[in-house]
Amino acid sequence: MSALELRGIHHDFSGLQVLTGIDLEVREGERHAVIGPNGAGKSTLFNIITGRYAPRRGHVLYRGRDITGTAPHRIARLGVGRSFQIINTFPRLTVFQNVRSAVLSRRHLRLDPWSLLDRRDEVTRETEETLGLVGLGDLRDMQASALSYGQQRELEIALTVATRPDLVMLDEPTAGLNSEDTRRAVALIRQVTEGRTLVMVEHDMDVVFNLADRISVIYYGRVLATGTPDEIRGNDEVKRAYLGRKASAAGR
Amino acid sequence: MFALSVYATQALHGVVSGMLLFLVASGLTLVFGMMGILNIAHAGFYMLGAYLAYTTVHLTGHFWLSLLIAPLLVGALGALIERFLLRRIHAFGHAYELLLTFGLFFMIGEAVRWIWGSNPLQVPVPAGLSGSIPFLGSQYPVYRLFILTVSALICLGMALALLRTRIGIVIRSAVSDGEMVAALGVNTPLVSLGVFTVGSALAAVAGVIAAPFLQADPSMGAVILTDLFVIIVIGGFGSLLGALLASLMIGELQSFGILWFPEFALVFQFLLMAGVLIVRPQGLFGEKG
Amino acid sequence: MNRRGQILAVVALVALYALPWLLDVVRLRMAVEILYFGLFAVSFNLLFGYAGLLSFGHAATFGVGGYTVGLALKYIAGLPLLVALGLGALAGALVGLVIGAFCVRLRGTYFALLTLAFSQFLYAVALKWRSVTRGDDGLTVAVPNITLPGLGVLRTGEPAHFYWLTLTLVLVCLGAAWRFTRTPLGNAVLLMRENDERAAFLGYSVMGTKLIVFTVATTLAAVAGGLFASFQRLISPTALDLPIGTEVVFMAVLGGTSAFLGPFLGATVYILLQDWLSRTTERWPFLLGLLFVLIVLYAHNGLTGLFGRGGPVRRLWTRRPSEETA
Repeated sequence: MSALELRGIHHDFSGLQVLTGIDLEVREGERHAVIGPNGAGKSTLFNIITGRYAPRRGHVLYRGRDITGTAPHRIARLGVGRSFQIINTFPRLTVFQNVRSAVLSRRHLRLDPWSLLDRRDEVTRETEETLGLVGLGDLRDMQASALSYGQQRELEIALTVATRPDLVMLDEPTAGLNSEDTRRAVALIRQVTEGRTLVMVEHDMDVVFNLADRISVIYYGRVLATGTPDEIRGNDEVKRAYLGRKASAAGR
Repeated sequence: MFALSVYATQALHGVVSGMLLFLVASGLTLVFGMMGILNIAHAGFYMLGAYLAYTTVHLTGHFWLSLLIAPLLVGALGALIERFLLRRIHAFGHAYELLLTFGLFFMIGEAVRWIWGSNPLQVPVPAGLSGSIPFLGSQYPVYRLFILTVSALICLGMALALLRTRIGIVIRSAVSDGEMVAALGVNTPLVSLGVFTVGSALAAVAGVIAAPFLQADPSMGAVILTDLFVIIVIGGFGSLLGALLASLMIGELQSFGILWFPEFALVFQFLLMAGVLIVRPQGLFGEKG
Repeated sequence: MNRRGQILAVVALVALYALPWLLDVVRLRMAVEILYFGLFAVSFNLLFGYAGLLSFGHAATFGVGGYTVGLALKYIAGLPLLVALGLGALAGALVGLVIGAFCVRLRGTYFALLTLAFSQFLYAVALKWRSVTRGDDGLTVAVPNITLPGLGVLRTGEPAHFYWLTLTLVLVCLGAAWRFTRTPLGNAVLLMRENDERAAFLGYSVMGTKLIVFTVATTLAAVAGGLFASFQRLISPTALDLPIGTEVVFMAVLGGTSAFLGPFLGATVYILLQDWLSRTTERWPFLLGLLFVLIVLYAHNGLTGLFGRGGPVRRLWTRRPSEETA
């Protein structure tokens, strides 16, 4: 059974066609990168998969289950976690509180009106673990909005994986990072997606070829090709439409 | 024939009230569309217009002068508020913008009581506009026709300005998508200031015109505020056409409501507003979100 | 709370209960008002400060609580006061649930307007339904005494006794509300304010969370309203009208919406200020309005924002989640 399957996804915004028939299959446990020029519809695809929008046509199947148009919070509870291209944290809460909120959700304590947060040792421990994993342990009491950009990106990832999702969806996780931070981010992503399924939108080809087991190229609303990095590198259509010089530069 | 003319008279009353409401609502809805702020003080500007008309007439005896003075003064007040207060509060978020405009509305109301007292003040109908003329079998007050004419002219002028002039197109675009407009290099803060000022001035003009008709009263701001909320919600935030239709609708509702179910007119209005907010929050013509 | 904080808390508690021996009747009556308006303001802030929902219609359940108590005491012979207050709270919860179900779907200005619409609707009902509510004249509330087994009779007609009753109930409610903010549900409410969309993607039900906090807030407002009606021995439509609905906003903003007890402080200052100002000048509403505008512009975190740095006593007022030590 595939982790994620997209069948005939069509979407438009007030008549402007963004996705014109997406068929995609992501296998359980693989790291799958989605690349394509800006405006090709990658973020829209993410939004459709995670329930932010319902597609005009088509179906989204998560582990064989039709989740098309299901509300985001229900999809999240099924084990899908996503990060955002633009930093989307809880700005005035501390790093610790941010991650703890995700942990609380994972432990089904979202609406618990009885227990005291401070006394919940296992929650605190799990939060600290996740913080340590991501490398934000020292900054736990800092307000999220006060973090540096690179640290905020780390918090983004921390929030996404703290719910221990089976399907991790990262939307341009290295956007705006310098090469040092990018290297760290890649190592972190590889570590936290061990044993999980990853779908990643990325522009940085180094990152893509470094991490991805398979790549799908989206070109103006449809899937141009899907395959291993080598297959994609060798694909003439892709080269023509998108990779161009970047393929030879990445050369791996 | 007699019955028809009673209904026709009521209907005409409704149109008159509706147009007057639209004069006030137009500025409010444009500001909301452009800046995302529901300027509660707008109702205060309307009230100030009426009171300034009273004072102008009292001091100079000339009603027509107040059509110049009131919008000038109130427009200036609006400009100051937008430039120095609203801009400052913008960073704190929409809730605080709302709180600020509410606080200002309250202050204007109390200032009016302070300066002019709590009793309603009569503004005499200007000479030449008093009395009635024959209309559909009975007499119809000339002043109401005057209100109708002026409102319609201003409405027409607004439509032309927005549809035909460059600045009009800029304003309409800014209402639809402020970010895009700013990205195109238009001086959005200046346009905002302009729209806010003109909107405030328009509210004052409406107040001036309404004064001989309704009396200058410290509660007139609160009374029209309710109507304004209902109109903006039904017509859609940011939509002038929606505001026009909703204003006429409310005008008619009030006109016939007084006739048919005086007890429940206000209740009905609020139910209507609640209904629209629940079913279609963006109103009849508003943009979503 | 550390040792010092605990000692201060005990001292404060003793002082509060000792107030009837320290104040004259007029001031004591004001203290009672401060207590239930303070609760009302804190309940408003659960929505505004904690959930980020500005409600212009919070007076709705304040009034519902008051009317329920009045009507219950009128029509149910021998009903104990505490039960009546409980019924008021229940009514507040139910009304809050219904209104909330519609309102929490909206945000920002739309939310504010819809809450306003509902409260104005209820105001109109209270005004027009003369057969039940006596309309404009108001409903007199016949408040029975409370027999405390072993301790005697709490004579609700005596300011001191009513003060103790109110103090105890308000402390219990505030304590419960404070505890609420320290639970996972309380944390979820904060997420609604900070970034409800992200919370949804983490698995939180935005509508559910907002509806729950809305109902909690309206229930507490109804308790405050019930106390108001019992104290004034009268409940009229003005309890549901805009002036009260906006006064509570003022109190919360004045005191500070970033601190749990900020609104309580705001209620205290507001009531004292209004009392003093109204004796000094006729223009006191204008001055209060001016104060409000100045606070919104230059001190939007209210008095607690201005004075809330350092000091152990101040830490009680300003203890926000972001300042807690985990």
